[in-house]
Amino acid sequence: MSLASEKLSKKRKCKMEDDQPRSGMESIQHDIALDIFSRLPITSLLQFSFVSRFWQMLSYDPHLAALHFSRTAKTNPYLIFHCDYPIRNQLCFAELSDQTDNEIVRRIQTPFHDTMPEFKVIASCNGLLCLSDSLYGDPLYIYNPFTREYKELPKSRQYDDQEVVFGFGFHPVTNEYKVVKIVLFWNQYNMLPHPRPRLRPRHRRLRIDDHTGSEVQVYSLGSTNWRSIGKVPYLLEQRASEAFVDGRLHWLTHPRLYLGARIHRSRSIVSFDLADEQFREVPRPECGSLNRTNYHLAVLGGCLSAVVWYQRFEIWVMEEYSVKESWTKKFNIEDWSRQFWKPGFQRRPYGIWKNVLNQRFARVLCLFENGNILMEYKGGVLVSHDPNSGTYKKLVFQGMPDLFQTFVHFGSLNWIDTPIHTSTN
Amino acid sequence: MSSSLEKNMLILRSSDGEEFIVPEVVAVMSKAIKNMVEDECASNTIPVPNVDANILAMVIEFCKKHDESEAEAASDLKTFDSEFVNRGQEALYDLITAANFRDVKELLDALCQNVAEMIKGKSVHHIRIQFLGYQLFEILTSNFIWNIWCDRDFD
Repeated sequence: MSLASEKLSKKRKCKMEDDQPRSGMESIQHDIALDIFSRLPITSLLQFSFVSRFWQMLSYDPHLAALHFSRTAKTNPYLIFHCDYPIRNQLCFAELSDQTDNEIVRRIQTPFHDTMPEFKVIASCNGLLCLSDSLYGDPLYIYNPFTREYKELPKSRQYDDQEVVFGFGFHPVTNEYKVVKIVLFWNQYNMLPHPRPRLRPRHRRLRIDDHTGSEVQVYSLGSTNWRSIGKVPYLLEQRASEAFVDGRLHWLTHPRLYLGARIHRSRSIVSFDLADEQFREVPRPECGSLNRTNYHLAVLGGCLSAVVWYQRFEIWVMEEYSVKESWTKKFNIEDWSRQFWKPGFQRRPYGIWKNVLNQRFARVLCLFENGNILMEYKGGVLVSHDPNSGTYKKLVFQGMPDLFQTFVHFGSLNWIDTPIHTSTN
Repeated sequence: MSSSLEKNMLILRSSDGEEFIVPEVVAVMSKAIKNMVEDECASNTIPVPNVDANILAMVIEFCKKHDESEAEAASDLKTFDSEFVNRGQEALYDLITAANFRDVKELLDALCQNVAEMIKGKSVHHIRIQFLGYQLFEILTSNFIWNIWCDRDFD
């Protein structure tokens, strides 16, 4: 922080010593210029830091980053595509707008490609992406795809035989960005004899409740190492946290498997508070569809939501956080999976979808400014659904990859060394 | 003149001495004037330094329209705003300075949005020429060299 302010004061000094007369745009006041620039999309903003030294200086102003972020939060987000085919492990983005249909997908550089050629995207928070090696879960990177600034996180403890669940988020009170790594590990020598030996060995691996230990590791951005905060009291599904609401990360618990036959026990929603670092169970509605197992979490309009698939999609929204009675069924969407499925993709998801869409056919990504719901069908088909008229529109962008996974991303000037604090707005 | 003035009217005097008679409800859309009125430090004539008659007339026009059409549809107001701020650059900068100095939030908002729309989607070269009035020579010398230096500095 002190370094940044020093940098800034240096810049200011440069400005003072600059003997060129300011003309036109540059003659207006500093805070007005910030106001104007904060209304630009992030792509324009970065381009214009090359216009002159005055504009360049402005783009490093932490006030601009905060102001810009507070405005972008109200507009349509960017979509980040993690491509699988034709080019594996490439990131691209598309800007969404209501007016034009011919949006272009543009490529994002991955400067960490040499050290981490195969990666997966964990989450996007305040314009920062968290990425990890897709095989070992290490190294981890925090990356702002627009400013191209990145940071490799320190190494964390690894186990021989482990399953890792990640989460990445920001707490507005403590003003900290945190990465949470939940490790379930197996110690093969201590493993009890399997109750049903005729199961083939490869099934043993899938039995996640056989794990012999767990560890929760937390890294807060800016610190030097990971902290271990003990065990996880729940058995979480092997997916990175999908919903980040109110300074809390959310996961679903694993549906229990009993002797190969799946017993439909309802899954609960577990939250992890980034401030006090405690796991809690989020109340579910008394009765209703959330007792089914096939659902996933999303954030719609800033509220925690659950998308239940049972012949059709039902979207439940918890309007007031942690209030059981505020769960309401907001949307009912007919299942048009067959229409939007990619041929040959029905049976076995592979590559980057292995852990993302292992049960589901589609997932709900976000709610647009105009109230439309954005859904992603298996394999990378984006569909915008208008809940009022009940119409569907397949979104096609120019230069869109064939197979991809989509992430909703709010582009910001979030410099990793001096991350923006949303509470200061 | 001031004696014949109705109670809820104010006189604004621009930097070049011209006087405008405006209703108080319109004048207090400027936070700066509102504070003066509330503190009762305003006599009948309120001087508005830094703002000349031309610009002051525009600001008053904008405030009047916004005051009248408060009940009207928001879309009408929006079209008015976009037409109002669609002016030459010099007037635009003067208006921004005036709106900022007099603290007229709605006007400042509309103006900033307009400038942002003008910048959006333009190339760097275009911006330098249109907004900064740079000549080719200047671009090639000062800014080009500066850019290289800047990149090194921030890396």
